[in-house]
Amino acid sequence: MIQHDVLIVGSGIAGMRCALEIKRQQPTADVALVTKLYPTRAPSVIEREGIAAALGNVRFDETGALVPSRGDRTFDSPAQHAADTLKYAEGLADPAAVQLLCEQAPKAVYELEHMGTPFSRTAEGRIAQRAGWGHTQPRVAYAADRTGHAITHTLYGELIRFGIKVYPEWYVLSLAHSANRAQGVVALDIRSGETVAFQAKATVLATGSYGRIFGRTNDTQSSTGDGLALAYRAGLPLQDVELVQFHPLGLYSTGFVISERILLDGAHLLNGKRERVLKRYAKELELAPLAVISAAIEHAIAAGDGAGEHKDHVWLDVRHLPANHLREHYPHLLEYAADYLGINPLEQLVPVLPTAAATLGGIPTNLDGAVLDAQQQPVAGLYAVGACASNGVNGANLLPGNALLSAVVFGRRTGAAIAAQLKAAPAHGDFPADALQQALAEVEALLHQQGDMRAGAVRERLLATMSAACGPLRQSELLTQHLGSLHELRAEFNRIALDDKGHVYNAELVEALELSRMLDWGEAIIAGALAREESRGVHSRSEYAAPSTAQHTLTTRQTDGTPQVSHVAAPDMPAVQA
Amino acid sequence: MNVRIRVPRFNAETDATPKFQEYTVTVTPQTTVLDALNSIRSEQDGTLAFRRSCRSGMCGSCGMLINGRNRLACNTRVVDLNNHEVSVNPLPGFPVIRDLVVDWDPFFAKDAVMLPYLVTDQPVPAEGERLQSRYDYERIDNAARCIQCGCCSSACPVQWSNGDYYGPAALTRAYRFVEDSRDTAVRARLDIVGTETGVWRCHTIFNCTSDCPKGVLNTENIQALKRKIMLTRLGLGSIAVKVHAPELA
Amino acid sequence: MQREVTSVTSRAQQVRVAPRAGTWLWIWQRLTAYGLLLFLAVHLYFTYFAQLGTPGALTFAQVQRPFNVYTLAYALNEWLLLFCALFHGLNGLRNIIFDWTTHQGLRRAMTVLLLLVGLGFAVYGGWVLWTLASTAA
Repeated sequence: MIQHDVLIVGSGIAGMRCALEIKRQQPTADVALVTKLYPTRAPSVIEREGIAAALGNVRFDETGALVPSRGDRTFDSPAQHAADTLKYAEGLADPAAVQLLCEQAPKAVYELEHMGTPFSRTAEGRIAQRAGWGHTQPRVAYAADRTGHAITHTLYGELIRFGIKVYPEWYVLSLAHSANRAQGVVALDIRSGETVAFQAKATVLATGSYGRIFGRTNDTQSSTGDGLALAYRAGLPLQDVELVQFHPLGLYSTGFVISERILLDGAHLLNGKRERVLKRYAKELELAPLAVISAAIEHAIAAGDGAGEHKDHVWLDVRHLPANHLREHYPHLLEYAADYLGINPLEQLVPVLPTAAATLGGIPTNLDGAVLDAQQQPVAGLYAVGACASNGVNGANLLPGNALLSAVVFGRRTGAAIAAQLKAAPAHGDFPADALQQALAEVEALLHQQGDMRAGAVRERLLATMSAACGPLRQSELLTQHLGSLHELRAEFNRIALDDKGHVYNAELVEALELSRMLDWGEAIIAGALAREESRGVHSRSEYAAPSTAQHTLTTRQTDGTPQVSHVAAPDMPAVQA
Repeated sequence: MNVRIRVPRFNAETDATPKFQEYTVTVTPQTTVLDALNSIRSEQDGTLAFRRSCRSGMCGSCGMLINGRNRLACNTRVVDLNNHEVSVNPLPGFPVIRDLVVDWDPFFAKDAVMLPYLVTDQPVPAEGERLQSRYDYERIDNAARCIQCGCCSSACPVQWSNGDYYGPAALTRAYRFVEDSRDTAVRARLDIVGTETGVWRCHTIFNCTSDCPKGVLNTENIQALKRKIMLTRLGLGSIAVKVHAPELA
Repeated sequence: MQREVTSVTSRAQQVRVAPRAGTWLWIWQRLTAYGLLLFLAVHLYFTYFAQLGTPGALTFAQVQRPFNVYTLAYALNEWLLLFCALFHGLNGLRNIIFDWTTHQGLRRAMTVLLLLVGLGFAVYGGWVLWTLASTAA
């Protein structure tokens, strides 16, 4: 058994920021990260847009162009950032959480800069910021179009500075808990195939988003919601997991998001007949809310107005925009189009269609990152941060730049809370005797399972099912039907046989373990979507066009494996914010 | 269109040499090498081991030797290889664990030697950020694009024969901090890289620059480090050394 | 067997760090390259281009003629040419050896060997040049 004071599952921006804060406040603390990747390969690196904070480094001039603010920063404030965030969250966000997020934002971003993050700069030498969809002021700070990458590499450097231990390529199988307290995890060393128990006084889940469960997604192949599975299988609830943001500008074939800023800059969406797609759906055309644009594209394709050989996408037209502007501000568009489609957007139309871009739900926590159980009570020694946590800041929609921001702000805050806890921390508790055996048994059973199905085939069907059931537009009938198909898929999983029975770097085994977990909590998404009988933010139900009472869904796994959904009222919005 | 994909099968624990195996995969114009490998693992042979994560050329997991060049499997389309036969090998010069999976430990250990974090005696400003001019930002912009995929170090003939050489990835990391206007540990890093396992092992072969999937000017950075060390030794350390970064298409 | 897990930092301490050397060798490699260009040009000019009109095959007398005319200055040019060629070539050889082996003992032995070869030829060449210059008519 390996022992640490704090064990962090996941090595993305939230996990690393949390580890760092513990080490800064409590230099003697023994902190370790366990990750199925390497820290510099964490999915955080794909976050391109930026990190939102009311720094006030640039402002709009009379013509709407961005100019340095020349020291006068009064035009933007954390309060305004909070107001924008709450408005976008459509009544589901916790105002206290949002206020905390936005107030801590400037400090959090400055700290990243002090650590050496290579942020782009204004002419005044300050951190460059740009406009973001839904932000009333230009407050999305960025490092070219690789902000997540820049922050990840900076935090990785800090791990090395502080000598924080990393266990790379370990897949965490289960949470260990006894005496109402989290005691650590059991993890599989992917490289050797050995299963080992990790004991810790505090366990932090920082496993990121769960977009990989959808067929077309911007998320990485590693974003399989492993943290959700750890909590869900331990009997803890998941909150609002049905809330998934779909982005209208997903690159055909890969689902990578093209920045929505390009619509503000005047890009057009064309259907198969080369007409503006949105003419029939929204009077603001391409400036309509992103959810409306996504739904319009889905409608247009369903109505047979799609483009291309299979009429299965629409065109993004940027040919009328200045080439230099595109090269400077949308290098990812040119790069994606050239690398994945072999086309040049300056001269050709780019095929796009809606893609899963961000996941808004997760493991419910309080503002100190402590995981809450079904009775809303904190679980001792268990924390969750970053995209896998749901602490009330997201609400029903997510502003660009707020995802990275909450990873950093709440990673830091949770780290501080853990450091304070450690000072008064008890010694290591009793590690449950059967935790290691149970995890080992799961792995061995899967390795030796006989059957006639391939794990890959079951996974393909899971992704197709989730996309069909929980796309941008959701219908009761389809949801109910696919809840059933998911049930069948769980049964089929028991018929899969792995080709690879080995122990050294058995990637097929790891993918099958991820799949078995996605099959578990995937049901929570559909069940949550069924229970949310309203349209709000990113969630659109065809039968319920209007929002109903603002409430969170809490989905718990029952003993027979089926999900049970309950509702919790969302905190009231202060009147002034409406 | 069908292509044949040839990969070595190898397990360091049991095999002395790799055996090669061929798979036939149906590809569309959009299929990347990674898509092809994924389809082999999920549809044909689950025992094929390789790494992948982000699919979009940002995480650096899937660096491989593909038809004779180090590239990322995820942003290389099969049709762009112009060949019905695709040979995929693990990054040369790295110890292989299994099939296409290499041991990253020595690579990241060398990176850590470079003090890959900001070291500065400039005080932290009480309020706001440290200022950095756009010019100074441009000086580190190219080197900061590195995703640690290993394509450069693995393309370096010196690295193949001499495993102690830090390699272009680590040296570019050193360069990124040496050139950062906010960092003041220039001398310390120049001492680290100015050794027989450091920049002096570089013979300007330019493989590392030409195989970098992110357009990082590795060889140019190493040359700039050499000039900086030389000028510092000669007492002319204040002279600026430039790397001319061409606009990327 | 459980894989030994350490932080990247402690693994970094296992990375072999070679002595801080090479700067001056690199500078001299560059300087001797320029030297080769210069001294070889002088050498070629006097032994060949300056005597283009002379009929017949190249003779020892022709090679010796510049010594007769310029004596010490020309001998110095020839010795510097020799020095640059030796340094540039042998240091290049040392680089190749250093690329191929990481064994510190072997590296040191080869460096000493190359140094001795270089010194030997420099002294021997100097002696020959002195003989030519001092016996010049």
